[in-house]
Parts: sequence; structure tokens; C-alpha cells
Amino acid sequence: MANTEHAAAAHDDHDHKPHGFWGRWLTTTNHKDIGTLYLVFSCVMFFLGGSFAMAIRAELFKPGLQFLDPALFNTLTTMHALIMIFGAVMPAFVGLANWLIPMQIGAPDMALPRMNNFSFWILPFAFTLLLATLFVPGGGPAGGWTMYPPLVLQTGSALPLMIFAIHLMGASSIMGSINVIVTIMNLRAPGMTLLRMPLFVWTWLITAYLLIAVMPVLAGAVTMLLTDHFFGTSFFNAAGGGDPVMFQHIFWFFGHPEVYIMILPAFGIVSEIIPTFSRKPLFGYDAMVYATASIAFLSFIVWAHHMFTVGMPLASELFFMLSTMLIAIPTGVKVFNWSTTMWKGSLSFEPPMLWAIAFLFLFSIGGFSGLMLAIAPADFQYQDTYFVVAHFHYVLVPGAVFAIMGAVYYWLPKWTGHMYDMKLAKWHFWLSTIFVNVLFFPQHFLGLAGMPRRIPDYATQFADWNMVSSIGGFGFGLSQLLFPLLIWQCVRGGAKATDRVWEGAHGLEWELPSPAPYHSWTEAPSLAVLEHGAPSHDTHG
Amino acid sequence: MTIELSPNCSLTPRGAVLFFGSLCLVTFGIAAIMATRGLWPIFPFAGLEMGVLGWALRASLQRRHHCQIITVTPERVAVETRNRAHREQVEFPRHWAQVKLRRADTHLHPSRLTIESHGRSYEVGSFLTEEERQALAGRLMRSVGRINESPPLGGVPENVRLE
Amino acid sequence: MMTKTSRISIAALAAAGSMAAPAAQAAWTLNMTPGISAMSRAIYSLHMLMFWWCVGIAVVVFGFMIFSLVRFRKSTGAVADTKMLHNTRVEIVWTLVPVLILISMAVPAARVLVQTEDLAGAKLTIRVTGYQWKWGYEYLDSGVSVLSTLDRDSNHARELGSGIDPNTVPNYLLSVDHPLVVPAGVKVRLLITSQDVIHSWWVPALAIKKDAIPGFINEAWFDIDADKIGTYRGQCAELCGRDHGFMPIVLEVKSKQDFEQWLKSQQETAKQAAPAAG
Repeated sequence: MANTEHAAAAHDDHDHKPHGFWGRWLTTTNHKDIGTLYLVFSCVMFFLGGSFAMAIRAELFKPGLQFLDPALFNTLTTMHALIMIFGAVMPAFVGLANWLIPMQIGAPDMALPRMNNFSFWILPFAFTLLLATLFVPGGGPAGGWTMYPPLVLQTGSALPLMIFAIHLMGASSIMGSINVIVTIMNLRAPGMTLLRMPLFVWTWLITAYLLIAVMPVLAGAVTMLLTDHFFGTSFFNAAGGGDPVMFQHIFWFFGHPEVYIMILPAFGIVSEIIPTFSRKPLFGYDAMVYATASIAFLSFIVWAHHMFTVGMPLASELFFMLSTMLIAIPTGVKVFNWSTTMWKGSLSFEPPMLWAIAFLFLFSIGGFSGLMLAIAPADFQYQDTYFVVAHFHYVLVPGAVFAIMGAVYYWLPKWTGHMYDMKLAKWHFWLSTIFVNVLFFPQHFLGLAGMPRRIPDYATQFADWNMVSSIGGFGFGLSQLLFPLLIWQCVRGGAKATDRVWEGAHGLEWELPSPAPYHSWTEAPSLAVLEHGAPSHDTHG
Repeated sequence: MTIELSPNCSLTPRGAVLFFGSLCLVTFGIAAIMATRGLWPIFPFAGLEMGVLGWALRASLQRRHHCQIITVTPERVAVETRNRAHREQVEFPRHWAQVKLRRADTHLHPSRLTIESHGRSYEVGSFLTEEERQALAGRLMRSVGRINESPPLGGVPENVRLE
Repeated sequence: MMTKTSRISIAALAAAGSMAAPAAQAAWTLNMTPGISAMSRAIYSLHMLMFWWCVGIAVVVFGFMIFSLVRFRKSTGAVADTKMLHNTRVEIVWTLVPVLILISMAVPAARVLVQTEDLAGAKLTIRVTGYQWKWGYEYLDSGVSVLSTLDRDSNHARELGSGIDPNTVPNYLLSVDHPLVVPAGVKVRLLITSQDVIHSWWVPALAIKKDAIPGFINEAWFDIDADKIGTYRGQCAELCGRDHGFMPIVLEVKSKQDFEQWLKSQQETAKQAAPAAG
């Protein structure tokens, strides 16, 4: 804290009036404000990316091309992925990190509050750039979010814009992770050793580590695409002595840890919710930490399972098959630990718990298809088909997205001080869960039946399941409208939330009354709050 | 009575160096392996990133040097604020001094604790958590009292460290 | 003991049947095809092995979860056992048992993988070239080459707002003007490459999917069962631009003799078409 801030305080006797609504939100360095900004942004992007998905499912409702030019279709699938990954899922997790990490470790704010603000505000700018590509000559990028050359180099004017947008998103993620890591390493309250931290903090520590390790690789990869296109280099151009497959290697070297970056915080969230509603500490806290660390470590050595059909040497195919299968072990351990937390618990089924339970079942289904995909020769039949689409949507939608929704339903009363409409919340949950399965389960069948991915039109034998999937898509999309409605109602008012909100909740963030207090100074709370707010796992000295 | 406040630092400088070193090893290791495959552009980004991380660690570790010492004597309330570069001392006459804990106008923002008198005010404990600030406010209010009211400080001077 | 006539009639009937029949697979298909070669069947078996393992594990794990959800509800009076924090023995078991299960999956998988790379003994080599947006096939020993583009009817029907119902087009999006003709009962080697961007050559019935990469050649092999004469269809399996979904693969499998005849007639046609080139 610089001395100058105190000098300013000495002159400023009143609550410093913020600079109006826009001024506050543009310049805030407060972690709760910034967390809110990230979450609101993420929600907007979720609906935007979702509307692209609705367009895709509308075109795929029946065979034949009804609405979309094939090039536009490819642009929509590309943008859908970029928006969901970099605009919805990742910012949502950063938003949750901002809100929760300082409270959970007993810190006043993030370690670098101004960098925190900057990290956020880069994102709207980056996405404006990305979305602007829809209107430039040649249209938006249509080579998939995976951007494989040479195809991606056929992109028109959108190419440099997209690459710049990706650089910006990467910079935002890197700065965010650095902030998270420094906060967790340096700002923990006395007594909060690493192995006493809530699991959400652990998963974010590991996620931040992954982000720091792989983001430069993505930045390098897209820069090389740019130089190949504009400056005559031949990193990925066979005619010039390069190799297009090399791009795939470095992209997926980033890409695979990226998908774990998108799921580890979800694991942390579920590890907070389940113990609360089981009224029982998390089973095997240490094992959960080690399992998460193992998953992170293994995520660096499995990337080429995205490339089994590319023509790698036999030894590589074997290695990547085996290493990928290995990830099933720590992941399974986590599922077993969550299940055992519920065993002999005292369960209640408020909305956050519903989302967490749906996560358990449906993420596991995604895990099973993942295990099948790991088997390289079988993958020859699954690769680039709807079987893969089904797999990753199961782990991302009822996986990551459900965990994020669960987190919001869990912590929203703490943040706003109000309870939300429980009945509406349950409607949102059940509609989402039913429709998400109608949407994605049939896609397993489509892939096995032989339908490739990224096609706007298909042979008539794929029509039936596509229609079912599209109906699921429309249902799922419409159901999501309940979510912002509910949040808006809750922010504006509602039944008052108690301090602890949920009977079984433990952790420092629940010790603070809802919302943050400011008036009671007659009876000073004990300074040793840590004793009362010990994380759910207890008994660590 | 003296209260010494300092932001807590769970990372020692040595720990920070080891931590930074291990991350550099991983990041530059990856960049180096990529470079041997001809993919050298990853190196500058890795370098940039480690630069920012190093800066961030250093900036955060500056907290170690920051502290605030509040001394309450029968006549005055003195606040000394120290960090690596500066040192500042402010005094208020105890009889006229007030301790005020103000909420922000939104519940998302932290409260501010100030010691004031004669139109001057000085913020204390800005780096504390919300609860610590309230605990401190309570303690200070009991010792400093209201205007025209100077409660006895007790026989033995109380020295408290708050981190 | 069949006469030549009856063999021809059967062949004619089979051909007619495969053309008149609806799409190669029925609607509401749930599973992958076992395919037409020993290798495709081996891959299908692997797939089924994995599937049943997953079903078995799911039954156990989901069963455990469902039991907890039903039995340990607060509303029915369950009291939480808050002392239950970890159990080393159980945790070791549930780490080791999955390892053993994975080993039992990995062994057959590795075996099949090694077989897919065994290109020795191929009798026929065909170069497959991916283009935006069609496939080219060259029979390297015979000089016969064929360009295989989406069939005209499909191409017309798929236009945006064509008004043509895809159900009226036979093998909509899965038929071409010139199929890839191959012999059954012969080990065939494919050399797969591309002239522009990355494509991927995939025929589910063969369980072969290999990327076509510009400037590089990938190899694959197949040996179709002698009795699997007929037509099999596949598609490009790597996003390659606008018409990625409109460059199918049609495999016409003939008996060894019929294939040889076909190849000869193709060579004749090529010679007649370009006498100077020879």
C-alpha cells in the first residue's frame, strides 16, 4: 500500500463518493466488483455463444440447407466455441475466483488490485474485436476454434483481428492467473497453511499454474500463424520446409491443459457444495488435492490424443493412448471421494446440491466417453464425429457450466444478502438437466452411426437423432432465460439471507454476515476467527 | 497502549524466489523444448510472462515492509505509517479524537476506519480484512473513547500485534 | 456348384438390392458398424469391450451414488457421520482396481493398434488425394486415376433453399460420380495426401480414418472380407472449408476378378482417350 494513498485519505473525510455508476465500474479495484464484472460478462457471452448454438441446431434440425450458407455455418461453429471457451467459461471461473479466494483465505483483496481491473477490461475489448470479424470482408473465422493451418490461412481480413483478440484474451488470463497465484501464495491469513485451504482455492491454484505454463504456447502458436501468413515464414507450410501437424502439436499442448483449466475450478466448486449439503466434511481432503495435482501434471503429456488420425509413429500413438487412459485414475478417485462424502451424510437437496449431483452423474458420463476416446484404434471411428462433440459437451455443459450455475446458486445469497426464488431455481435446474440430455445424448449415437462434425447438412439416416438433439437444444436454450431473471430478482430483493445461509456451510466466507458488515463495533469479534471458520475437512492440527 | 498493524505475508522472500524459480523452470523449459523444434516465438511470450510474474511477486512482497503503529497515550493518539520508502507520522489530541468506522455506499466495498479531529482524518488499517478492521475499531473506540471522554487506559500498557 | 448364370443373377440381384435399398444404415441407429474386414471387426470389438466396461463401472458407481441419495436424506432422519474423513485402505483399493481395469483394456487396444500399422504384404497401392472439395484416387501400378465428386443430384438438392426434399435423393450427400473401386480379399495399401488443406479420409465400414495432409503422405491398409461385395460410404472427417460436408467417399467393393476386369477396362478407356500420352 503506497504512502500516497494514506495522504489522500487524510484529506478525504467523507466516504469518497464514487465517480458515478460508470466511473465506479470502470475503475474499481475491489475484488467483489471485479468478480461481479467477470460474472456478468460471462453471462452475456453465454447467451451470445448460446444463440449461435441455437442457429446451428436450427440448421441441423432437418437434412438439407434451410437457413445458413455453409461458410456462415462454419463461422458460427468457430465463434460459438471461441465465445463459450474464452468468453463464458473461463471468465466465469475467474469471476468466482475473484469473489471467493480473498474471502476463503482471509485476505482483504487480491494481491494486485489494479492489474485485476485491467485483466477484466481487456475482455470486452477483445470480444468486440472478435465479433467485429463477422462484418469484415471474408467474414468471421471459419476454420474451427482449433485454427488448423493451412485452412485457417484461407481466412480473410478476420485473421489478424482474431489473432489479436486471442492475444488479448491470453494476456487477460495470464494476468488473472498471476494475480490468483500471488494472492494465494502471499495473502493467506496466519494459520491458513496450504493444506488447510478450501478445495476451491486449491483447484484455482493449480489452474493458475496450468494457465501460466501453457498460455505462452498459444500466444506463440497464433503468432506463428500470423507470420506464416503475412511475413513469409514457413513454420506450418510444407512447401517451405515446415509442417502443418506441428501446429496441431503445439495447439493441443496448450489445448489439453486448457480443457483441464476449464474443469478444475468446477471440481473445486463441487467439493465445496457437496460437503455442505451432506452436512459432512469432504472425504479424503488430501487425496483430493493430490488427485487434482496429478490431473494437472498428466494433462501436459496427453495432448496428441486429439490427433490420433494425423499419422503419428506407432510409439507416439501408444504413449498417448496409455497416458490418456491414466488420467481416468485421479479423476475416478475424485468421483469416489465426492460419492463417499454423501455416504452416511445427512443430505438435503437445495438448488446448489441439485446442480452438484447432476454434475456428478453427467460429468461421469462425459468421463466414460472420454475413456472410450482414449483407445486409439477405436478413436479412428470416433475422431471428428459427433461422438467427440457429445463427449466434450457432456464435460463442459453438465460439467463446467452446471458447476458454475451451482456456484452462483450457492454463493449468491451470501453476495446479495437475499435468498432467491427456490421454486424458480428448481424449475431452472430440472428443465436444464432434462434438456441437456435430450440435446447431447443422441449425439453419441450420431457419431457412432457415422456423422462427422462441423457439417451443416447430413445424410438422411442421421435425421432422426438430429431432430431430437435440436429439440433438446431449443429447450435447453430457452430454459436458461430463467437464470438471469432469477439473479436479477435476487439482487434487487428477496427474503433476507441468514449469515450462514446454508446449515452445513463451513469456511471463512460464511463467517462474515451477509452481506459484508460495517456497523457493529460494540462487541469486537474474536481475532481468532480462524478457529471457528476451519475448512470442512477439520483436524489438521 | 500500542497497536502494531502489518499486512500478513504468507510467502517469505526465500519462498518467493524458490516459487518463481520453479515456475521459470517449467515455463522456460517448455519454451526451450519448443525452440529446439524450431518454434522459437514461444520464448518471447514466456519471457514476458515471467517478467510480469516476477514484478507481481516483488510488488506483493513489498507488503512485508509496510506497517502502521497506533500509540494511545493519555494525551494523544499517534499513528505512524511505514513502508520501505516512506515514513509518516500523524498525531491527534486524545481528548478530541474520534474513531469512526464508515461503511461504503455499497455493501460490496470495504468499510473505512479513520481517526479524526479538528477536520483532519487519517485512515488506519486499510490493508486489514473486514473483520480485523472491525475488531480494531472496537478496540480503538474503547481506548480512545468519544469526544470529551478519555477512558482510563488501564494499569498495564497493552501491546498488541495485529497481522 | 452354382452355374455361371445363377452367379451372375445373384450378383445382379445384390447390386439392384443395394441401389434400391434405403440409406445404408437405418434411422435411429445406436451403434457403430462392425464393418467389412477383420480389422474393422477387431476395432468394433474393442469399442464394445470399452462400452461394456463403462456400463459396468457406471452401474456400480451410479448405484452407490443413488443408494446414498435415497438412504441418507435429512428428510428421512439420517444423521451425518462427521468423523468420516478418510480411509486409507479403501482409497488404495479404489486407486489400484481402476489401474487393473485399465490394464485389461490397454492390452487388447495396443495389440489392435500395432496391427493397424502393419502395412507389409500389400498387393495393391492406391494414392488418395484430398482436394477442396473432392477426392482423387490413383491406382499407382496401373496408371488409372479417378476424380470423385459429390453426385449431381445431391449437389443440386443441398443448395441453400433448393426446395428439394433430401429424402427423395438416393444416398443424399453420400454418393459420387466416380466411386473408388477396390477388390475384396486383397490387402490394399492407401497413400493419403492432400493438395491444399488438411482433409481426412474416413470409411466407417473399413474403420479407417487417416488425415490427408498437404506435403506429407500417410499410409493405411485394408483387407476386405471376400464375401463383402457391395457399396460402402464415408465422408471427409476434417474441417476443410465451405464444402467440408459435401465431399463424400464411395467404396465400391468388387470380387478380385471383377476388379481386375474393371481396372483393365479403365486402362483401355484411358489409352483411347490419350493415345499420344500413352
